[in-house]
Amino acid sequence: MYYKNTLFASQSLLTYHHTIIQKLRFFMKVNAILLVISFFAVSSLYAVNSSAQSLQEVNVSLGFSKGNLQEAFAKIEQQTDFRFAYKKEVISGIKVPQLEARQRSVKQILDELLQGSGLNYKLLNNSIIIFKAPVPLASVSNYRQEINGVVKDEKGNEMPGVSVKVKGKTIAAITDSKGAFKIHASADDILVFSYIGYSTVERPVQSAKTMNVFLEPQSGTLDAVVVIGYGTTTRRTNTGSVTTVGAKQIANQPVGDPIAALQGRVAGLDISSVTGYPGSAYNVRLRGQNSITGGTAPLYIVDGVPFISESLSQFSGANGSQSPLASINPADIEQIDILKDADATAIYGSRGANGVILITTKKGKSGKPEFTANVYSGISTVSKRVKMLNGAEYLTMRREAYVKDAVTPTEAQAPDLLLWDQNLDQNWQDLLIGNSANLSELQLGLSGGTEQTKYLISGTYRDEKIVLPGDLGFKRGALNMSLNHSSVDQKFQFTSSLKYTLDENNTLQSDVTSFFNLAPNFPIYDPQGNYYWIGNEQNPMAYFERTNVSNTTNIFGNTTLSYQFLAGLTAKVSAGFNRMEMKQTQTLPKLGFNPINYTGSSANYGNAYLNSYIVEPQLNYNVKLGKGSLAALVGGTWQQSLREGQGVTGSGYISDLQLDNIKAATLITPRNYSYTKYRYTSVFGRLTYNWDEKYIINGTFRRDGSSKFGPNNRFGNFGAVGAAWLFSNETYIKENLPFLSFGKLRGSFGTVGNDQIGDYQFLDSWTPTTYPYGGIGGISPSRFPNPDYSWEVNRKLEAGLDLGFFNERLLLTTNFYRNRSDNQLIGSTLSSQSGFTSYQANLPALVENKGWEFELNSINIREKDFSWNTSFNLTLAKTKLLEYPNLKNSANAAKYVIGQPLSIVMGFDFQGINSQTGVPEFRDLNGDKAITDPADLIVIGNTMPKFYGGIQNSFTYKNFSLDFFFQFVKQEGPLLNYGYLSYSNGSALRNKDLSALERWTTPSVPAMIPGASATAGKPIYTAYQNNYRLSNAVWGDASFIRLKNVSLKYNFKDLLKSWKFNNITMYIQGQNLFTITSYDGFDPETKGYSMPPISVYTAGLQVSF
Amino acid sequence: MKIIYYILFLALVSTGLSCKKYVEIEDPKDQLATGTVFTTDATATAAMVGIYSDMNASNYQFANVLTSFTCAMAADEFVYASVLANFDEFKNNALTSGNTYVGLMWSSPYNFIYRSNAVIQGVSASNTLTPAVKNQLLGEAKFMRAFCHFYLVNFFGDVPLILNTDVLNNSNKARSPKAEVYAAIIQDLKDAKNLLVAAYPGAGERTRPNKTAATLLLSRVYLYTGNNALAESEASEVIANTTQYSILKNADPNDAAHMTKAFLKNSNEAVWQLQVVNTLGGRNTWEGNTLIPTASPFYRLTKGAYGLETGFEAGDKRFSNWVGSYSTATAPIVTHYYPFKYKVRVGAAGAAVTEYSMVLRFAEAFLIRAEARVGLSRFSDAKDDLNVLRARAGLPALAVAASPAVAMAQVEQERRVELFSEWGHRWFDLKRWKSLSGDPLKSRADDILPLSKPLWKPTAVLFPIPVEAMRTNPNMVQNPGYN
Repeated sequence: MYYKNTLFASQSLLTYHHTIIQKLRFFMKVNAILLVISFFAVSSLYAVNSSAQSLQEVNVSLGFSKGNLQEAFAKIEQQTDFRFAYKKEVISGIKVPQLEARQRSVKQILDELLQGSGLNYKLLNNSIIIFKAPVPLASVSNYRQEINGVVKDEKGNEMPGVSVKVKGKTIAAITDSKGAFKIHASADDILVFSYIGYSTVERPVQSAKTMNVFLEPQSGTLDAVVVIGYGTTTRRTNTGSVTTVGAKQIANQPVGDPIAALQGRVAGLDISSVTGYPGSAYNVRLRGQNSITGGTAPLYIVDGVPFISESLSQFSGANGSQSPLASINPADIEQIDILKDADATAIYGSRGANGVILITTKKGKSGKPEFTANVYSGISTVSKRVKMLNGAEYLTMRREAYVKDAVTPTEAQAPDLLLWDQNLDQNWQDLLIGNSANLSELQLGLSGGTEQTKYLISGTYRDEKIVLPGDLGFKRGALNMSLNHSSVDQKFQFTSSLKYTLDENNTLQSDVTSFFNLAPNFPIYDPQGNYYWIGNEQNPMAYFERTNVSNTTNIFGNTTLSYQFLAGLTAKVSAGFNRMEMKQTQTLPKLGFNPINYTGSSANYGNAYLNSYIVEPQLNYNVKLGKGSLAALVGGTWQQSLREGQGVTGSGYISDLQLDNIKAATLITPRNYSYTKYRYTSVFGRLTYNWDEKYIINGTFRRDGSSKFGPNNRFGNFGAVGAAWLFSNETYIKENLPFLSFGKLRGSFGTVGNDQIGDYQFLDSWTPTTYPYGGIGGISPSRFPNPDYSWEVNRKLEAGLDLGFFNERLLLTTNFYRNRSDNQLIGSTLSSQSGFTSYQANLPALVENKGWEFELNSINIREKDFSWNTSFNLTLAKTKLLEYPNLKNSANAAKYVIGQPLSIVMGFDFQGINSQTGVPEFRDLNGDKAITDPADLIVIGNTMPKFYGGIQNSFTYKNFSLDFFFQFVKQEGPLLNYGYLSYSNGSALRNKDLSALERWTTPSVPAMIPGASATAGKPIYTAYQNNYRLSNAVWGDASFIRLKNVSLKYNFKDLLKSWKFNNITMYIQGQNLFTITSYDGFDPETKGYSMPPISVYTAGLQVSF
Repeated sequence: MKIIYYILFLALVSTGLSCKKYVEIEDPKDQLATGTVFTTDATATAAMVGIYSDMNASNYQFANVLTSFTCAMAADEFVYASVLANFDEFKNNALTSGNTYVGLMWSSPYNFIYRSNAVIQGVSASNTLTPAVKNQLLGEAKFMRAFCHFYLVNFFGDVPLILNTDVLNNSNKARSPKAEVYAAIIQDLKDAKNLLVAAYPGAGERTRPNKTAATLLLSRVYLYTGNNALAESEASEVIANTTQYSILKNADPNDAAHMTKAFLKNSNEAVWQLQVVNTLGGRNTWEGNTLIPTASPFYRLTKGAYGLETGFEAGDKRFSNWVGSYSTATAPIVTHYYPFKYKVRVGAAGAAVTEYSMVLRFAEAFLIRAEARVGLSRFSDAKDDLNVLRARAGLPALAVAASPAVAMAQVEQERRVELFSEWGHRWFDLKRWKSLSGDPLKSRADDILPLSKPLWKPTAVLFPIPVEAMRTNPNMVQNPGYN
């Protein structure tokens, strides 16, 4: 049946194929599928075309228990047309070894059955003749014997799951839970022992019958797999600049978002959180800011499938917009590779300008089924509070303000002085964000399989509460299934995985942290026990009546099929899809409103989804060429994604209890609707030539087409050349510098593009207005269209030096990069008098990012019971605007300065406080005796860090292991009193931090903080509101050193040897434990008035058996 | 083997060939391509009414209470009784260029001007529209462009005059002299008057401007620019239209013509109203929704000798019908007054909307004509116009003024109590009228506002150019007093 089916399939394919040739266009759409099918067909075609069946070509699926040969032959006869011929006495007494059931060729079965029996066989027509082999006199080389042994690690622990192979043959085995293996090999064979993270060991068989092998952990990571675009390489031979973060570093951190796990760990990657709420986005910048106002986020690729980084949220909550990356479960990640330079990113063409982050998820490993469980639980609290004036100090400042203003306060202006309890002293930070919240996560997994088929299924449940009052929090359930299969000869490979993630983020509508400066005596409740209201002031506790729940469902699948149909030539198709859905409900009940603003309860309902698929056929060719090897790749991409989102507002509810029920609304008003289709196609190729492991040259090319661009400029070409010289492989280096075990000099140059400018920006169109008018739907112009803008191009240059010392115990990577972004695709600012505030256009502006990156890994101590490893990274980076034609007369004149970074902040130059009046004074640049915007603005700072990095130390002592990681950032930023939310000292109902105690109070007594003033139009008040809060007086150092992560583990493996456990580990972990900083606000990372990052402490248990 | 190469070759070639086709996408479902907008009457009309919809869509916008409220506070009509820095700056005439509301009062009319220009351009170029619709839309767009320029020039003085959709050049355009802007406004209104007809378009609701709206605004512009003769004749044209418009009297409160019903939708006093589009929670107008208090009012008529509270003559029915009051419950009892022209704060659940926001009101035509006639020294005619409004307010008729000053004082009084809290009339009047001191550099505002406002400065008559406009247009110059 097997034959008939495949024959039929291949015939039908051929007929199909003829019609396809006539219909080329149709063919184009299905060719990806056909490619896959054709690979299957190839294998069967071979079998059919061969005229006579040979022992090698007939496959049977059989297993044999220990027994005699006669029974085994009978089994083979049942499944094939072969018949056996033998003399009974020849085969009697010969024991058949146990063979597991799987598909093999008859030849393979016979080889294994008869191995060591002294028997041989021969095929004559359809008969297999069994005869006694003549004993060779000279050599025993073909004589296969069983070899037993145990594999142990450097500490003498048995290692299960180690792959044992006979070099150059298909015979393979895996060590069992006791580290033992059994394999058949000839005396002249070589056994190869390999295990991830350990150096591969080769041992000749010779006459050995038992073999005990010790594997040494790889001292460096030079030969560990580095994932690059459409392939893998190693750190040893990579010509590009890539940093890898492994599962262990991720697992040590009890974070909910994979991006959070990368903070401070990768040179060149600057990540800062926006708020401390779960599900909130991160600012991610890889090697600076290349685009002036376009997207600066890197391209995220999960298992080969691009992942969106723009939110699906239809309206925002306290955490801002829900980050889609928060629906990737960190526990499912095997490793994250960060691609930086042109050599590594040019294969991603128009999307690689901001770097590429490749996320590879966990796959099954061969071996007996292993069940793993990991559970942890802990608490989180806000990492830092701001010290505020107490009630009495606040009231003193308020009274003083009216005295200085010479204004008599009224009840309307100063209820805090005239109406409210003068002794009430509430700390709003305690009330609003002062709770400690629970956090727990449970991970369960099952994996295993054979060398051919491996599987993994795992589930994760996370429940994370927020430090606010009430039962708010983030919950996530994640399921990961992975199945890999390869044929016995390894020619056919299949991998596939499916991920399903559900999360619910139950948060607030807005971040209540910003109420930290509310008057300490603001009454929460009125005498009747209802919320207290005054004027337009929001009662922050009433915000808790409003709810904001978002539910995200993410289904993510990908599969790859590859077939090696000639030596060195492999065809592959990878395909993936992603469906993400988001549902949001926001309720605004009466209780949450100031009655003067209340016009009826309402609720907002949002729905959005993303459907995306990608198909990428590829051809890989590897060949020996001269003294080197050549690897070639060609491929293509088709990608399409569709996003649709809508939001409606419901009103007219009978009861506030029914706000979650859209049907209970008597009026439904459409809020917004968006529809975005994106199509993308490209061809790409890569050529790598490695000459004698000394000289490597790598060229990449990609031609991209994207629907994001105007019809005239849809296509762009990108490419890069990278080269590496492994000078440590030169004989004269080896001889003269023996301590230098590895040395590589590399460089690359290329162009990469950025397409993060939104969809349809070329389109001249009109969009419906929010409401109809007089029964007629209105429309408004969507944008100021620009039909012919083209790609933004980033030219990346890099030079790098990788050094390994003392047998790679010390590894140092140094990179210098210089990226220049041109033809800036930006939202060019327009003056609103034109009708628009911006439009998309290419600007011949040039932005340069350059910097130095250092990564150091060192094994300081490696003893039997004690080891100490350190890894360190440091980035020094600078962004500079090099050219901007006619900047002075452009709309961005007051925003950018040539020669300065893009992230500069303009403000007033503080000159001190007038000691007579208490009025803050500023430098009058144009000498017009007035301080105005923009004439008197100077560059007061830059929000990009000057340098940043991290240092990780890992210790193991016997069964203990301790990891701790410090992150450091040298930067400046807005201090607590910077910005439009900062009010003059003594402003109505606004408390201040302790710095207000040093305010000016008495004429002739110098001070550095403006005096108190509460009345608009008074000099101090005006100067504070107009200038002071936007000046360098409130701008300063925001550098910090943070103990980002600590993990302490104890492994019970010694105690439990007799038990059936592979691993029992107990651990405690902490995240964001403490921060050393002189910053005066909540947190130097988030800055401003948003919830700072939270500190997390957890304890957990990991078990596997 | 050959077959396989063949398949692979074809696959790759077809990939390359079909790239162009593949990246083409259809227009998004949520947008309408510009090429199709001005091809049909319905879509071209949608482009025009989109402006009205956005004018009234959300609160505290240029056309949505901001112009009325900020100007009323900048003048001496009412104050905001609680804490709000943005409002305090208007109240104290101590504006800063960063004031959010000033920013909106700049950017929002300019957005409507761009859209009016787009309609003018699109409609003019189209040859598929019905001629009647074409004229109507062209007339509305020109009216709208004039309307927005009028408010800009009165808020800020010289402003960039934007008459086309050349966005890139317009973005950097410098301020045009006030006279030039007014000339363009007059031309637009004349065109609009010719293009529009007496009947209101659509369902006949008075929610889109008609010929009378253009005429009334034109007469106002003539008055503001000192062209009394033309102001008089245009106003006369409005007043002559007694079939569509009348002054609602103070007769039986149940009478449909009672003055408390002047602000009902499509009332006989309505020349142009904005329909409320966002009726969330039973809202009718944003004015009614915001001004009418639930307890103690936040928007209170100014108190004291110079306050509007005391500015009404005894027995003025406008005080009893258009001003609301609230007294504190406990001693000392204080009574606060608030504008109460609109009667609906929140309508009953499910009830139909009964009020629209009044933009142009018939009564203004009498006030314009009276003032123009004073300017033309026709004091008797002027008094007759004022007496029309006094009659409905239950006040005795005025006698002929003995001097220009007396006549002007009568106009000033009537305008103050008739038009209070509506679209910045009082603020614009105080700015445009000359000071009684005879100092040609001073305005009436310099006479009156210092009496109640200690921080008053003559330069406060102009609002500051918003900070965003200063930053984004290198040719922008700030108003005096804000530097």
